[in-house]
Amino acid sequence: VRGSEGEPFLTRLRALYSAGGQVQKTAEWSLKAVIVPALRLNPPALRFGVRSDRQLEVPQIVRIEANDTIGAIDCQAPPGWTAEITSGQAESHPADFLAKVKRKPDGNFGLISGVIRFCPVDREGKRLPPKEAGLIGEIVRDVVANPREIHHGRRPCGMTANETVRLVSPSNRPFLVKSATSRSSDLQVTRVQEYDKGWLYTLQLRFTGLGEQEASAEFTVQDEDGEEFKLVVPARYYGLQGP
Amino acid sequence: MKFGNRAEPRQGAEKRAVMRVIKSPKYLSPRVVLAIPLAIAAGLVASPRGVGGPAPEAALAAIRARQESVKTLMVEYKQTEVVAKGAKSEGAAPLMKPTTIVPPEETTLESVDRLLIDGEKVRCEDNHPSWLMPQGILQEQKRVSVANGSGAKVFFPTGLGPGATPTGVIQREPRSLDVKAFTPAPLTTTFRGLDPMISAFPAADMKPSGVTLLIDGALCEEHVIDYSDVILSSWLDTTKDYVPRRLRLQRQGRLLEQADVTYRRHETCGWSPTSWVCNYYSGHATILRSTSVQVLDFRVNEPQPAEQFDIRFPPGTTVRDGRTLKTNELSPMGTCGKYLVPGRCYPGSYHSRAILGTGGTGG
Repeated sequence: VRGSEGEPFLTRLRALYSAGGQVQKTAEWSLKAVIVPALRLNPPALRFGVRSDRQLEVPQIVRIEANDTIGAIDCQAPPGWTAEITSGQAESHPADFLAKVKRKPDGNFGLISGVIRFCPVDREGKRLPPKEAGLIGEIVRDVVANPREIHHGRRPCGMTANETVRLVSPSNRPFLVKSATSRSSDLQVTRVQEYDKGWLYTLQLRFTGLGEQEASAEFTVQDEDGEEFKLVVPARYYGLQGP
Repeated sequence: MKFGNRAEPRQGAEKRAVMRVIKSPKYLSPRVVLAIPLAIAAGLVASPRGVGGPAPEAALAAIRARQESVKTLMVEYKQTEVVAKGAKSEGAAPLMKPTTIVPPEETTLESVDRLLIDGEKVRCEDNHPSWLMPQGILQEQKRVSVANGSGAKVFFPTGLGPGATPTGVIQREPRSLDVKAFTPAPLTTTFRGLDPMISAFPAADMKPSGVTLLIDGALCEEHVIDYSDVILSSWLDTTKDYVPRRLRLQRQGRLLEQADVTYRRHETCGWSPTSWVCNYYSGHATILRSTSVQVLDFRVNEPQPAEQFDIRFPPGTTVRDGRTLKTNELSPMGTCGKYLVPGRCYPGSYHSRAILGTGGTGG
């Protein structure tokens, strides 16, 4: 029954019994109902994709429809996040409640896979079973490389290939690339300035090893607040015997 | 191991099948089923979000002009696919996981396939060998799919497994999923870029990300469709009438599929793809398969008989009807006979396979 939403529900029970070793008899009962959920969440999961921490300063919204018996909702967000419940009607939304889900400023970077737990409370103060909304995505720094990784596929050893990478701010904030280096002698990183004033780099990779191989370009970036961080762009290939 | 099929003549994929086993075993490769439309169908992704404004008028105008100049298109192309050891078992969905490493060694598969487009009508003849999972059996398989605006069908002349009878599927929706696969995507995106029923990278839905890169020395603009979990990107060559030089599929920021395309100038339709390489990666960035495609025959605006865009299933074919969710067997007269599984939801392993394919390497 749990998890049904407004679905007609029918269950039949059949008892098989014998009294005093006599002929077996049966009795049947049926239960019919319509399951009305206490809460409906829209969207049922917050999938925000890959976003920078600056882009997630704007809260994500979950609209919550509650049935008439619900007087309040308790909300629990995963670590690094806050969820604030407000009345949706007060803000001209059709939903009964709104949940504003926001990342804390000191929240973690990386993949996010958590749940926001909404616990309805009826008008008599009784807590009902909670409903969960997924919170799924990845949070990156506000300067990213496009592409994030370079894949050359299967390449014969002895050859070289060029790919370009551009560093951008997803929220269009100014930043500075203080250095661009490579730890491998097979990979050369060169800035290209002939097209615009952006941060465009050529990564020239020489294929030297057999099988899965990787070399990385490392960029030191300074954002508009003066904070410095490293951005690593791996360049991968699968080396084959040369011609 | 090399393992491959030849293209079929127009009306029947029944003839001229050649399966070659060549040299020592090397790689394996599954059929290429594009994950995006399937992921969307499976409800795995949300509706698209635009990144920037609409696609620039210049790009849309070039794509529109190319589409309008190509009324009909017939392309025969050769696929050579190298599949890494264990790639198929690694990419298999949980229910399809084999108990052994599939393939046990690097395997090369070859086939010659054909794509036919006439306006909005399509016919795909796919002769690429495929893997029967979870058994892990490499099998010759032929598959013809058509869509003509009013209906869509798929036909497996040799069935869906060893010793199987011919199988047909009448799809619930009048559109071909095969034409939106990744392997022919350079063709469909170049010549039907505005048709979302044919192109998996519909230009009208794509938004410029504002990022430009040099690809082989040509300045290319990135256009994307952002489904949150899944991002499709097409790098349009500003020096070649905005043809897609690179197509990419990423999930959760990880590159899963990438095609790099080379072009030549054609007198009728401008820049046309001549070859491309599709690479498929695991979520851990290891290469699973690599497909090199070479165009063998390319014909534009030749009349195409209408019957090529429909399939009359021959007698003895097991037909699964996605519209009625019933499975029938055609009698020797070619009419529907008894229900094999009356009323059961059995739209065909074709659908099952497509959806399962979203979790891994496809087909």
